[in-house]
Amino acid sequence: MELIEEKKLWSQLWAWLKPDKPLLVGLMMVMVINTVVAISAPIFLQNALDLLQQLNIEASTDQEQQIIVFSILYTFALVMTFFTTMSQNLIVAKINARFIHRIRSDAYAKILRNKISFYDDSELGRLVSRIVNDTNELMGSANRFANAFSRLIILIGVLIIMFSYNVQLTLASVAITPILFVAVIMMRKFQRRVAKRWRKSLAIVNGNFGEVMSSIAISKAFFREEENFRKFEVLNEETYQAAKIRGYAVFATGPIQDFLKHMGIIILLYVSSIYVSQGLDVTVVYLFILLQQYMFDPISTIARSYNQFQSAFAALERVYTIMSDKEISEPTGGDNRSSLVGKIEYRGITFAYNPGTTVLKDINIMIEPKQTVALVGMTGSGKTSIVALLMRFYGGYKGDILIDDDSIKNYNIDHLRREIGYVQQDVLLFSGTILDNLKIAKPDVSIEEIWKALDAVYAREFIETLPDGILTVIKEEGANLSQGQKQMISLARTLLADPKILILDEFTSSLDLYTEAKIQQGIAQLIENRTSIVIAHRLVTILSADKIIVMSDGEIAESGTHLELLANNGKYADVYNKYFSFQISALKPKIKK
Amino acid sequence: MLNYKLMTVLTIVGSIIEIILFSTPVVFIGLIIELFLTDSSSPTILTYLAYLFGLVIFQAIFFYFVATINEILAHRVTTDMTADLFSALQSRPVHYHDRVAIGDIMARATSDTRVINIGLSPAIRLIMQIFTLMVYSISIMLALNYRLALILVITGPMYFYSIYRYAKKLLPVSSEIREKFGDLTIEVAESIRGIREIKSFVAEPNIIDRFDKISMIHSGKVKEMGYLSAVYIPHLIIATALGLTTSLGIILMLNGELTLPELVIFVGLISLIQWMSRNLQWIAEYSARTIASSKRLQEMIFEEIEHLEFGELKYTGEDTTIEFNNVSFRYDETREWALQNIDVKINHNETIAIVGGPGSGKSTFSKLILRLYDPINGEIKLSGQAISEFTEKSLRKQFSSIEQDVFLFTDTIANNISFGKPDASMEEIKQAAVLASAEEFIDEMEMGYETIIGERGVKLSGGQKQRIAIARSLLINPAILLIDDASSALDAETEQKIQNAIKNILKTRTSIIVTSRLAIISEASRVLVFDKGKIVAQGPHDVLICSSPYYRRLFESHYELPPLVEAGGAQ
Repeated sequence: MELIEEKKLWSQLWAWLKPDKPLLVGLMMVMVINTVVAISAPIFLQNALDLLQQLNIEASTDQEQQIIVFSILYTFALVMTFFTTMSQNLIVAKINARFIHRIRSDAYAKILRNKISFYDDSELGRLVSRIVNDTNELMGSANRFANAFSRLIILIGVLIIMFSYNVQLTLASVAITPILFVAVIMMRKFQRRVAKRWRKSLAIVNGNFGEVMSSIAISKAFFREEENFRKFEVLNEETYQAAKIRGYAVFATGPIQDFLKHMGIIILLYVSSIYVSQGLDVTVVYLFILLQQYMFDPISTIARSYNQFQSAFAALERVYTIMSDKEISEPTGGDNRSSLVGKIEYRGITFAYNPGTTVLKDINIMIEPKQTVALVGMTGSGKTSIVALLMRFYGGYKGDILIDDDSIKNYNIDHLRREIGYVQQDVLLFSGTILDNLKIAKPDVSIEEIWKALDAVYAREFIETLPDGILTVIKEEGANLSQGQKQMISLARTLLADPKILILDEFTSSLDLYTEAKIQQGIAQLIENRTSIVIAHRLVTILSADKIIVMSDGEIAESGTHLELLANNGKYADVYNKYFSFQISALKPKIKK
Repeated sequence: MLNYKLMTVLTIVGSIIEIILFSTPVVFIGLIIELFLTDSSSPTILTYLAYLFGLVIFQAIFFYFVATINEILAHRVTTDMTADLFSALQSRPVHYHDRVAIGDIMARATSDTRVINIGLSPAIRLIMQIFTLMVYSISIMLALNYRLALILVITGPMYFYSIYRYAKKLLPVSSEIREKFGDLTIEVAESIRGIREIKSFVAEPNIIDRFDKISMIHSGKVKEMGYLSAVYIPHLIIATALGLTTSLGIILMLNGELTLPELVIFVGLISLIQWMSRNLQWIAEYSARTIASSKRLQEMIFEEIEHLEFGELKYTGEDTTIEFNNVSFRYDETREWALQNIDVKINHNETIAIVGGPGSGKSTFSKLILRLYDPINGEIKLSGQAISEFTEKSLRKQFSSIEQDVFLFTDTIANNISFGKPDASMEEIKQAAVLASAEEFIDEMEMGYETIIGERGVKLSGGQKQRIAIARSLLINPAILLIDDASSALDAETEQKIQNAIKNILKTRTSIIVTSRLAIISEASRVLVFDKGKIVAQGPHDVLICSSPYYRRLFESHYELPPLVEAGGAQ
């Protein structure tokens, strides 16, 4: 099973790389050329030096010329190595950027099609990190992989050359490399462990810093500055200690590597001393010394990369699981219906987010076209779940929900959602202009239509007072707009989408009375001529409904018109008498019979 | 603990010695090759190898010593910098924090300190070492054969200049990459937070489009950076220097002016420089960024802030009369007046309700009472004295405010309630919770008062948070209480509990409450109605509802009102 998964992963990886096949082939060629050029340099040098040594015995200008040619070739090879490495890195940079963009947008597109339950289960920060940081880690590792791979080719080249010159010296040269390889891998593992502790400590101290700074007014009001600083200092010093320990581990690698490399040279020199006394050419020894340098670098790079590849592969796996799991992605298919009437029926709906904790029990509701239904009840009574099911945010419920007498499961999910306008308390505004945000509902909308919608929700006034009007850039999380203004934009956006069915979910709850009074007028516009489900605490909204459904612990406690419910003398009447009647002396004209 | 100076000296001297130790094996290789050529069976070879062995062990230990001292120094510096930043920021007045974004502060506290950290260890040490190696190599070469050294003498400065140039070019690109990466993160976080909205608008294609554009810009910058670092000129310079020195050396050897061992040493030294400069790409970048980051950090730590002047008088809270005499205020010159010509007197132990739309000046009014700002014109008096005559601490002890956006710390409920009085007994804490109508839901929790709440703890509902905040304020028993209670995001039953809690605390002190709950307004002896920075009406609710058209408008859509009385009123 695991093997198949891994195979899938590799084939996905290849699918991302495939469009750059020509570049990859080119890269391979450049890598080989680079290796040849790089290794040829010490060989040219050795040749020149070898000739020089022989020169002492019998001199000729011909040989002198040859020596000079070799030394020029040597210089040329060194300079050429720069250019081949450069071309190699240019190609890698290009592939890397394309690769990362491809992964990122592909993954994001698929993740966005995941079910809401997937989002419920994931912590926001972690999910963002999956999409952004994990893919970014792949970018770093694509670079490293190319680097390690090219070093591997160089290593193979060096070994071939070494063996062709002298087997004993080759063995002497590589004697230390397994130890170096293992040492680097082990050091890395150890470092990661200590680094983890440090990072955790750093996260805590940063968290504390942020918390204190964002609540500074409260600290000042309760004169807590000294205490805050004392607490912070403890955390800060703890982090310092953890950093020190990490330092002890991290900075051991350099010395150990240096030592092992130097040992490699010592072994080579020792073995050489035996063979030189038996007549081995000294320039060959020198060649091995030069080549050995080409060898150490690849070994430590590859060893270092080993762990990085592991974590990159883990990152890839993490991204892959959340983008390719059929279980968590939304169903496709289903029909498009040209025009909905807007009749809604809940038939015996029982639903639980998690097995065991039922949030809706045998819900039966009938909503006629263009009717307005108010859902009333305490927080956690199941109101939002009822509308979430209609939006097909969740499946796996018992019973059925029908729109125009057909199960919502038979509709195409996108089509269904386009027909339902869902307005929530928290309004999502994207960075971009107000216009951009309005266009999200309907990308090809005309400017006249937009102003018409804005007028309908009484938003023109505030938009016109903004310095850039409708082209005002909305700051991160809509920081430069008030809650009421954001909700006006949200209403206009929904109006533009022109849905047949409308859901208002505690829409005005976080507004002050003044703003709410304004927005109510906009809402009236929106509700007209649509089937509407309204979740609200405000009596004024509830009273304008054709039917009131009182929810309690996932069940419908009672339903009917305001007067019917009062006559019932049940839960609604109880809440009304305790609280709502407080709000008004009389709101009777608003009551729908 | 070793102090800064000693550690700095140790780091500098140590790394110079270390790099010289590091390059010495090259000289040994030269010496041994000489022996190979002249007397290949000499026992001196083994002696040299033994020396070399001792040297490399010493080098490794010394290297470790220097590197860790350097690292400790770097962390000491940044740890202290972070603490400095923390206490500097904490001592700033609230209006400074209103202005400066928390994201900006955190960027300096986290990434800038990290950059400085890496910059100090190992980036700057390595740069110093490469420079030392260059000087050392040139000196040895000058001693052995001055003509050969010439090439390095000429290319050396070019080499360092090109590193400098590279870092300068790289810096803007790398900061752009970080910026674009930030955009990417924000975009994804925003979308995921609004996933329900996206799905209900079927806006996924639109969102993917937006993301693609940002991702494209980011990866474009990544590519640019890749191209920049691929064309890394210092490599070319050092490779050319190596090639030319070697070729020149061979020509000198032809003329018998140089020996093979000498050439081996030259090539070895330059190769070391070449080998070390592989890391220079990121080192150069970090060194440059370190300078920028230090500047940014220093800027924030030493920024001159206008502090409010506080007097010497101790405010006891016995008399809580507050007077506004013709007070006007604006946040800065470019903005409109937030408050204009406010004249009002709040009597001892009075309950005042404040009503007004967004931007009406009602929250500025509270801020002035709390003395977070001073009025531009006019005067605010507290128990007959100018408010500026009192000490900051005594004022803060008697004033408390409950914000609408309740901030709770990641800590136990008990600690959150006793935030302003850490030595409060459990008895006192419970009493405050009872008054705030919070004891019921606290008792329902498994861990009770020891439940961890806040951002990383148990999530509380808005109503629960508000009640904890009320308990927190009650515990310090302030003489004057300001409550911002403008919204009403609560279901009916919770709402009632909050009302009870608020009513409980209004009774015993001077209270100023921003609210639109009628139940609470009816408790107030007076309502101040704010609009566009002015008090447009004031008086008891019953009077205003009959006299102020503006006040009526606020309630009109919700409540049936008695008829408007044309005459009178407090307009």
